[in-house]
Amino acid sequence: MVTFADVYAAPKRIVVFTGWASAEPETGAIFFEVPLEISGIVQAGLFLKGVAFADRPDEHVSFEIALRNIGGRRREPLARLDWRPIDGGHTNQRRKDVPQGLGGTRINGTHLHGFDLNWFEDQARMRKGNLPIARAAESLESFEMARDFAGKQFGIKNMDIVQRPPLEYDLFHGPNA
Amino acid sequence: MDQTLDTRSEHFAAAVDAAARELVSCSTRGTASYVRLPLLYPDGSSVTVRIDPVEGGLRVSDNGFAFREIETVGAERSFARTAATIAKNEGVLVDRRKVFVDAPQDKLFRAICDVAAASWRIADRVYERLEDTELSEIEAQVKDRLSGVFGIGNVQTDAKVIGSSATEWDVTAVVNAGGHKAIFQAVNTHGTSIYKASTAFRDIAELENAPRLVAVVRNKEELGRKLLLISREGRVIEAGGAEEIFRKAAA
Repeated sequence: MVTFADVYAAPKRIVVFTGWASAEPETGAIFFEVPLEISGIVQAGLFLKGVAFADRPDEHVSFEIALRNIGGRRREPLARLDWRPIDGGHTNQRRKDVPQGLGGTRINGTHLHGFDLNWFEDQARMRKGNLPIARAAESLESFEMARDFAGKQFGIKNMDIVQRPPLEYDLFHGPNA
Repeated sequence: MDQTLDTRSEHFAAAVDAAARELVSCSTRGTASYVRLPLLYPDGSSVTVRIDPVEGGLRVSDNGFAFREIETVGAERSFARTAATIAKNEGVLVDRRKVFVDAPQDKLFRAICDVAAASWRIADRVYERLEDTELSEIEAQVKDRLSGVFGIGNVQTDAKVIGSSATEWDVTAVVNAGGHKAIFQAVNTHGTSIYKASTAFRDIAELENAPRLVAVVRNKEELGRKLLLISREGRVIEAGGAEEIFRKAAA
């Protein structure tokens, strides 16, 4: 039986990057979602998603790899990188089964909801609650660094084809500010 | 913990102070401010509200964060209905993606509290419902397993059992296990499921010639301390367990 762990561990590739969708009118959120292939076969339900806010340049960008169950609506996130989140960080559950001494810890800033932290190998299942365990990610100074780090973590070889989102810079928050 | 901190020590005060300062924070970008509150969505991120100036006051919204939280697990279709119910109770408004309210400056504090509470409740309720879906999946698996182990003719699914208090309980299945009956009840990790099963088990256990009571869960470890509750009156097995375990549990 192929498990989530097998899918996550396999080298993956983005077939085509179709660009970021225009901003959602209610929230200003912008997205992209692309299918992923493994060994030349586009995998049913396996995709990479990116989320950012047009009016929050150079912060609050997420990259997530997930599986959509065939014929259903449910999605199972496998891993996610939250780069410079607006809410300031992440708080781990205080459970005894949280690995690496992370139980109950607060992580400020960029963090990785790593697959290994949210996967029960002995039970062949993900933790409940949308990847509830995360660890601090290394210093990622730019969108490109965050994107490439996520690609490395998720096993996506050509992550660099994901383009910078169409962000709205102002005088104080621009790439050259 | 290695040692107990003295409440009069600087370390104690510093630890409490540092945690308290972390509970709420505020940042401003352009014309909008974001306030992070000490409530956590299921993924461990903090409930955060956005505040924008609008004519006559301030708009407080969750900026779609509850929607994003449930969209990640594919439950975004639940947003509209769930948000409408909760927004009404909290006295806030809702659009396609976010909960919000416009308030004058002197009522900002309460507006922030209400929007944050509504946003958290929406995510919490949708995740709770996902667990109900999971319970249905466990129930289906239990019925399938019981029919395979004991034979379809010996398994009455979706049965009703009257307890010692004369309360009628819905149970997943009653099995005729070689001269005596065994009740199998699918249980997930959600409190409602566990409390219902443990109350039913207690009531049924007080009957004369009480049947065997068996709770079937997806994974025993997942229950944590709640395992104690459910195991007081009944046996607990896993839905994916071996046939022999189902037989022994019913014996």
